[in-house]
Amino acid sequence: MSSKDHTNILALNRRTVLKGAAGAAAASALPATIAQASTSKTGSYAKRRQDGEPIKLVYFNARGGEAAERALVERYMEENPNIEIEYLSTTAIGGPSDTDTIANLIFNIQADTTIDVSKVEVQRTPLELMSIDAALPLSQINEEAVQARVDQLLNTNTTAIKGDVWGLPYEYDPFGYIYNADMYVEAGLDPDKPPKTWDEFRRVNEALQAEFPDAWTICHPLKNLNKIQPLVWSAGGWYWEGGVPPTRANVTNEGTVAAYKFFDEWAQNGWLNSEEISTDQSIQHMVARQCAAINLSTTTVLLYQANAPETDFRVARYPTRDESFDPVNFAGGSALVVPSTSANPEAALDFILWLTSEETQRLKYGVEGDLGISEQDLFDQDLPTNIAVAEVLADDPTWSEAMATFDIPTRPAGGLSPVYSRAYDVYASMQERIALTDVDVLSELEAAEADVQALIDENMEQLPALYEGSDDATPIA
Amino acid sequence: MAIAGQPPRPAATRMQRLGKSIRKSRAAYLLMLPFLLHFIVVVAYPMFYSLYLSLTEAKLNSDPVFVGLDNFVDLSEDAEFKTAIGNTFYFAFFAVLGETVLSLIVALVMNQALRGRIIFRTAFFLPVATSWVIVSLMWSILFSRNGIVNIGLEWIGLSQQPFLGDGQQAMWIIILMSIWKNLGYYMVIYLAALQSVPRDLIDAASLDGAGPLRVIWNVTIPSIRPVIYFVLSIATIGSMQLFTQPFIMTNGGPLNATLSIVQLLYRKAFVELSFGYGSAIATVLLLLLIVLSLLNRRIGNLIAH
Repeated sequence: MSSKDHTNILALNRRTVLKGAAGAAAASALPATIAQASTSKTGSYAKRRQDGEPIKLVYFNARGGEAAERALVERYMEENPNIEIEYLSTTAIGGPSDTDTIANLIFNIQADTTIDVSKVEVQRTPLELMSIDAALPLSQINEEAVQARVDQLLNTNTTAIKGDVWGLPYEYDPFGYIYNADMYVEAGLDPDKPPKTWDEFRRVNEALQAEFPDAWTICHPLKNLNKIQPLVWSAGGWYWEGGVPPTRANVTNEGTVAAYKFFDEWAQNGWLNSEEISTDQSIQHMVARQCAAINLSTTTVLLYQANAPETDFRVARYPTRDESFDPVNFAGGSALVVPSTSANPEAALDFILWLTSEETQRLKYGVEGDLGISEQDLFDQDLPTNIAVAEVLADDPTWSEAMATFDIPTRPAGGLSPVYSRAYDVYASMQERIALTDVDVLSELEAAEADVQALIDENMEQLPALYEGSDDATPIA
Repeated sequence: MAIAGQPPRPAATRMQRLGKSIRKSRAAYLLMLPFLLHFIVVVAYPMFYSLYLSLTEAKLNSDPVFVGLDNFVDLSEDAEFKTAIGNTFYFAFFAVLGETVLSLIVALVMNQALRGRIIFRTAFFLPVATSWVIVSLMWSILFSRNGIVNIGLEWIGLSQQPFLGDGQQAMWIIILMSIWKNLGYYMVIYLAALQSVPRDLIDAASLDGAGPLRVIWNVTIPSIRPVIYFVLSIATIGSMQLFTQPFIMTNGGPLNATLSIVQLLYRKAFVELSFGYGSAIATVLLLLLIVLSLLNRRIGNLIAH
């Protein structure tokens, strides 16, 4: 080890120790901090509300759905005249992750900008914020109310970390197999029977290819790790081991190898798209019948239906390896968090509880009441996380296809850690090589696993406190 | 001037002369102040801060840690970075060549007294006024698997091409699109220069029996040589900063075949949140641009003399 390494480790160790000590002190002082933040000279938060004292909240939207969010803010202020909400937003460039919006939010937090509530991406951001002490645990603001709400929502396994609830899922973005039922019929397939197993999937793609030799029978974003995870999980595979964050990368387990070999089979048979496809490009490809089916967010079917209303687009779950495997899905979406710079945590949580309530979500999705937004804006948001509202939409003809996989059990992405962005890129590049070149799948998986493990090891050395309690051997599956 | 009977005044010091000069040009400095402030805040400070960050390991959740030249050492071993450099130079070479030469040819034609030349000039300039993002999206639709170009190829009996699905073809589509979009901009610069070529020289050459091409080669082009080098310089600098086209059309793919230096910088800094490493890439790009600009100037001076 060079003296430079030694200096850096010393600097890190000093920082880590100080951070750990600061963290411990902060954690013990947290309830008092939350209480103090919510208390003005005139009294507690409850009293301030009772007295009608003006309370200001700052709501930072980092996850789109602008029109609906603004309308909801207006509605909340109408119902609570003493609450004033300053609405801020940022937009993300479409890409493999939401890291640019995470960065935007964290820059603001580091600059001590008061932000009381933030709508963020659900899979990675709560942990990212937690790991740098940039968010408050909701369960420590009002544990009873939070727990009661958690039971009413989907996707809560992504925001419950290390015994605390760090955010409430707000919008739900499940994945699915979106297919052109008209093309199924022309290929002699039953559109009411999409493939449920890999063998059925093979037969469907063979039939589609025979009828449409120039089309891609299954389209899939080549450099998108999230979209392939349901296929891996439904084959009994996994990516990570250890807790949150994980301590080991493992993509050479039998299920994951089988899934990627199956993915390679799509490419070798000419079923799979031979160029990258983004969500925007997918509209063109699906409407023009270049893709007979696509693995994507189920809400995308609304875009296809809007652009080609005469075409019968449907949604089904990803096929499982065989009937002995249970279907598992991935669902992204958004969550509502209370950043550490909140000046009114209790008021912030009240707002979050209102936004995630069944009544508000019914309003948000046009089930009951009118938010005054256009139909385009109504569809420009992910699905509801409130279970009761989701069940209502599942029976609505407009939403039924988009809701087709909402009740498939989901898993969090796992691997949630400060290295996730770089690990994602390693796995996504590997996936692209498998799709576009003739490589040995197992060798690619082994190499990628080694690269990601090196990233984890480096991170464990830099932030040992974060990995306390992570079990080395437990598969996150 | 000394006055008789009085001791000579001492010579003004340098500071006094400077102060006098500033006072004299006070209005000019005041007018420059907004630009200077903007330059310092938006350009100079971020540039120097980025240089500092390139010597650190800077992540989102920790203070920058000084690591010296480690980032640059890592860059020298980074296969992705080497790919990005190669791609960027490949793009820059052909794009600059096309933009510089084709726009000159078009300008020479547009400089003639042609009927309807205003319409043609406008048509050539219109792409310049459009957004890179929109143009990139449109070209990716045109060259998609079932886009109009492939439909046209099938119609004339040729086979469909992968276009954006093939690394080589994707890069050439980006090059051609960039030439098409920038051509009008450089054409306008050349047109302005051509207007200033002394008519006498051209007339004299014609009288001596020189044909049109000879006149262009021996009179016109030498006369606008400084403008040609200017176009070369700005085209090179612009091309080395390739980002929007591959980001929108191919996301650097397939298999990093269209990955540019700036796109890699974006990925490292804003997707992987490694700001130190991203800043190191920015520093290398800056050094490359400085070297290219100096080289361009040196070649220009050599040929001029």
